[in-house]
Amino acid sequence: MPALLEIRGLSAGLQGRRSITQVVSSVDLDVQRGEILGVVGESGCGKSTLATAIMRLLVPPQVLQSGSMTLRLKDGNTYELLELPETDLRQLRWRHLSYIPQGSMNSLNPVLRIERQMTDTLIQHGLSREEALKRSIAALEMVNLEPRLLDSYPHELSGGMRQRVIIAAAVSMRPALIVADELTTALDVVTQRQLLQELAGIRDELGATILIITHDMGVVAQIADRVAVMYAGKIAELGTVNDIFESPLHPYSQGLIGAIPRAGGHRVEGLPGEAPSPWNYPAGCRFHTRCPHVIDRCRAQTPALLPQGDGRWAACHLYEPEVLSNA
Amino acid sequence: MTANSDASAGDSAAEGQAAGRREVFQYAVRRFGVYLFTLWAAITVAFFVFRLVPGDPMNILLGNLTRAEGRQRDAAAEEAIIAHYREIFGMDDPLPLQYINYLRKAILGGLDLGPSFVEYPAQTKDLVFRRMPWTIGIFTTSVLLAWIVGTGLGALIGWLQRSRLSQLAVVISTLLQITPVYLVALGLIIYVGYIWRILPAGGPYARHLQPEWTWEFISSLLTHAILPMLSNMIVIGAGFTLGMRALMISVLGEDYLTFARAKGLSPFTVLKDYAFRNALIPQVTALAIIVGATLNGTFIIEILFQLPGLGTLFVQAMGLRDFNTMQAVVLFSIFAVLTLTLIVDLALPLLDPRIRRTA
Amino acid sequence: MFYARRGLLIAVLILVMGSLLGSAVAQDEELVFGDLPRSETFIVASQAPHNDVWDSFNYYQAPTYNNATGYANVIVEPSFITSHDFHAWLAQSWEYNEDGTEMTLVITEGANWNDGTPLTMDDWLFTLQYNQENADKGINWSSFLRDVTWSAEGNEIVFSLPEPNWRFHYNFTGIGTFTPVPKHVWEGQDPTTFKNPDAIHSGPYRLVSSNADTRTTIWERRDDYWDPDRMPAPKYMVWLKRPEADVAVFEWEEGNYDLGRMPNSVMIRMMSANPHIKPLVHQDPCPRGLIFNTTVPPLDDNMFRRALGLLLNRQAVANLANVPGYVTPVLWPNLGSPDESYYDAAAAEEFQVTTFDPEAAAALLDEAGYPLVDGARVDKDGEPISLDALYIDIGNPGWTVWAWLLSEQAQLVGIEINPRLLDIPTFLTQGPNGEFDIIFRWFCGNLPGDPIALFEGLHSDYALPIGERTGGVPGRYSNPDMDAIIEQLRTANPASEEAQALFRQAYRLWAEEAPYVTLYGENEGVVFNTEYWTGLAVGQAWVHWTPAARQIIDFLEPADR
Repeated sequence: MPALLEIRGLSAGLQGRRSITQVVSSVDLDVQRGEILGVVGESGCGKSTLATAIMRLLVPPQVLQSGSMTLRLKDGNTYELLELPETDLRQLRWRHLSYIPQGSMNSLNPVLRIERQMTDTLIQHGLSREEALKRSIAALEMVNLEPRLLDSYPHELSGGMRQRVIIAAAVSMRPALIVADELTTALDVVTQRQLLQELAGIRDELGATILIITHDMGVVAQIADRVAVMYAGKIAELGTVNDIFESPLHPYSQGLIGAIPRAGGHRVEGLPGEAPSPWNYPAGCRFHTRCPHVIDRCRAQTPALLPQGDGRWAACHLYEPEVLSNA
Repeated sequence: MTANSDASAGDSAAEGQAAGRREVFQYAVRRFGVYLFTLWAAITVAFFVFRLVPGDPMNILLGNLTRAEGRQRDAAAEEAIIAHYREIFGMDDPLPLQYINYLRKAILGGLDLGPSFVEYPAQTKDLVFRRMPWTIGIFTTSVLLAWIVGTGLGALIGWLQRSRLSQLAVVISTLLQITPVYLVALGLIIYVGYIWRILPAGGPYARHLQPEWTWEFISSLLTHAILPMLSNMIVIGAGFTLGMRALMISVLGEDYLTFARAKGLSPFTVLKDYAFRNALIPQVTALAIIVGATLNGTFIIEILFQLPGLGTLFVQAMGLRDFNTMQAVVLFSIFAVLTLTLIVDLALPLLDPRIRRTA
Repeated sequence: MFYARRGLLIAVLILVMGSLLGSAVAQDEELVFGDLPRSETFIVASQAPHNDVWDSFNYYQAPTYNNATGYANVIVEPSFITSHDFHAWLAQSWEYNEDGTEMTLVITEGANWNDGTPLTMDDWLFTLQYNQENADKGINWSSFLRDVTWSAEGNEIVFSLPEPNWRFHYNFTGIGTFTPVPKHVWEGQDPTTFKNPDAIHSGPYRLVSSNADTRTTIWERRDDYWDPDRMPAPKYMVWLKRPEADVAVFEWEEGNYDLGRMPNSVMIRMMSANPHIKPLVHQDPCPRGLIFNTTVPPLDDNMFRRALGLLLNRQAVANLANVPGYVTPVLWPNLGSPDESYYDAAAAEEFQVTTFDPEAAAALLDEAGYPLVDGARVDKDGEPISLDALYIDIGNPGWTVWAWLLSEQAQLVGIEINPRLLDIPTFLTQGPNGEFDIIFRWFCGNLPGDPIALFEGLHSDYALPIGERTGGVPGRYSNPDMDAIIEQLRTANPASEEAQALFRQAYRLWAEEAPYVTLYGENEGVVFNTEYWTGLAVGQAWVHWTPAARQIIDFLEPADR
């Protein structure tokens, strides 16, 4: 079965006065139908740029440089997302592809009632007013919200409720793919857990595919099927949640997993140093400045994302055959 | 547990609406109280400040007379004139009594603000009411038009901020905004009025006409109004354009704009319901402030275009230290500005639901 | 829909063509202000001061006297005009009895008002009584009737004066003069508030319209004017308030105005753009001078005051103040050629009253006991001298530049003088209140053959405490010798030998004491457009802001076109 979304060689950056600073560098990623794929990484690693690039919501100075994204829907229709004109893209959005933005606490228009904000999209996508209202109520119920909230303004709702409204809005058209960027940031732990459960429930109910983007390994551990670890604009490692948490391959993944506080109070040291900013990504492997296992080759050559068996992928010279054989 | 907490949240939202209505009413009452107090305070300050300005109207009166008669007058004659007019203008009483009399007459006497020097023996009240339509007609209308045009244009060039055309529009607006209104008006008068002779460039209407409901008078009135209104609109409109553009750009960076685009809404809906409506709120406040500021700063246009408005009246009154007229103009200006601010403050909750609760 | 639109288009086209055709036909006779033929209309572009009254034609109201509707010029007529040549107008002559306690005025018979009613002795008697009765209301032309009684017989009015007064006729001959008002209009009216809405006076025009919005008054000549020899040429007169000079310059260049005042700075430009524009220059009857506050040391010392007078470069100030080529030197007490019987030329010479001589000033200061110490003159207490000079800016450089020239010259001899600019109301208040060291003033005393007004204000009666308004020269000057002379002059017949001797004495005292000093004579530049009207000339003695200007409209002749 082909992947729902197939990303190939996706690069995006920031347009400067003379040159483009690359933030996301030739990312290859397949999002499988029905899965929850978590993309994790530190702040500034390019994961949000990746999410907005997938939604094609990049605004200047953010620019898309190269690559392709193919969306294959169940009905057999295939869309090259990067080649679609804006009008077709608008049709696609929300119907098949929806988005829960970063900072979604502020993603509701403060001057419109919730009802208007949920239904205006549905109506523009061809539903009647009654149908749109019905769908909105159904969507609200899906996230355990009372329909009467439709009469409220955003500022009358708590942060968790606003977040749920956003989720409800995002699922109201039963889209194939939902991209959720930093869904739970700024929420308390209890609300976080509820939301994640609801999101998982939605996936089960709608059969939707969810791409969840977060800096929080805990979120990934709770909800994701597979995890893509991003570092400095590139995918460092890709695998199932179990594999990555049990036996991370990439030294960066190892560091991330080690940094999670665990029950029992025992805490492994975090990664030394700071992630490089897009303006000074190091040559060779971008992680070599912080890597405890750095070898000469890391400073010179960029490692490719290579399959490591069992559906696992890693971009690290340590796992390249000739290095392994030398060891 | 989850369902429970959300149900109660819904209840509180409904209760909140009822409470909100109550609060809006309390807000309106409180706001009106503040309005009355400010009005009184401003009038009081104006009353005393004007009387602290050096210069006695009687001396100006006599200065004019001496020159008119072309000779030295005898002292007794001067005393008689001074005594008479001091009495008419109520200037012999001690200041606190003058103040009380002023308020008493103004409030109980049906806005009796005393006689004026500028157009003696006309009553100050009549003078202000006769001049007021010009100020309101020309300036308030042009500020409103400038606001509408500037807001629309600013929203558009903010929305299309990266296109070359809107960058050009920003440059032009900035240039116009920093140009003194005097230069704009004079430029229009010289070029449009005299060199190209497209429109009349002075006076409220043709000099031989009298106000009446004839097409000749009305068309004359309208053509004479174009240039002064345009002068005002160009400068103020440029300011509104730049202001709205900045507001628009800051709104465009908001999360709800990204979300609106992600929802697949048409650009027009995003512009209208999401960007424009939010940027509009501070722009409405700006309108109230600008109207207040221009009302007092319009006399340059009134003088250049020879319009019989309140601005020229105030300048004339100041030159004669005609306290009654100065006060009446200030009174009217304060009244107009405060009323406008009140209207805007009371109207803002309609535009911005957040204010209904927080006020 | 389509047809309706086409119909509209055709209608618009017809309208446009019709109006073009109409304007082509009308080109034969240029019309202004609606339907007034330009060649029969005289347009005065006035520059009204702050008063802005367009609906009141009241000769009595002190606050509104000085307005721009032209009523004082086109409908108010004087008893006599004496400012240049003698012209009998509403009255024919006057005569005093032997001791100056009675004056007989012969009035002109056969005059009428501009509503057609005859102007009779009844009107004169009504006006005299009306003015006297309303004197306490502070109206113009009333105070001179205090304690005066009169009787009429035929065309003569005999005034009985409470004490000898040889100047009573000045109230009928001055620049501003007593003039009768129509009894049938004014009877029962309050002179301070009545607006005389139909503008009834005896002049050759009647009011067509006056509009406060456009600040325009239109007058039409009447056929029944009482003196056919003085029937003015223009059929219409339009008095309007002109725009700011920056804009008005275009109106002048297009020939839309006939007479008015403009700043000297734009005259040259206007004259080169429109060859019909000529400057008319006439002498302002009130020469300019400086008043010293004689209560402020060292200004209480006449030597010091004279020294300051010597520091004034009057020629430089006059050159700047006047239209180039029309500088009037100040030969006190009168402008122009002085009448030697009233003025002591030897004293003028001796006390150097109009001389600019900084060295003489320095010598005078040394002699008077104001030595230079470390580059600064010190007063009697040894403190450096510092004085303020108050001036106003009305657009004429003469009114401002004197302060700076004086300051510069004073600096050279070691005295600090600080020029201080005041706004007009403050200036007009601080002056009479005596709140100044040195202040600019105009001196209206230019009565031919009788310069009493120049000295009257120096009487110690006017030396009120600082802060109280005085009607005299506000320098608080007090000198028993001067008082004695003034008191004799008040009752003396100015034409008598005795009075002339007193005047020469007063002059010498003034020159020696220098309570105020001369500055310059000002010529007012007036712009005259000769395209439609001629007849006005440089040097004609008239002042356009007073009723004496009634005369100027008689000079006008249609231009040869």
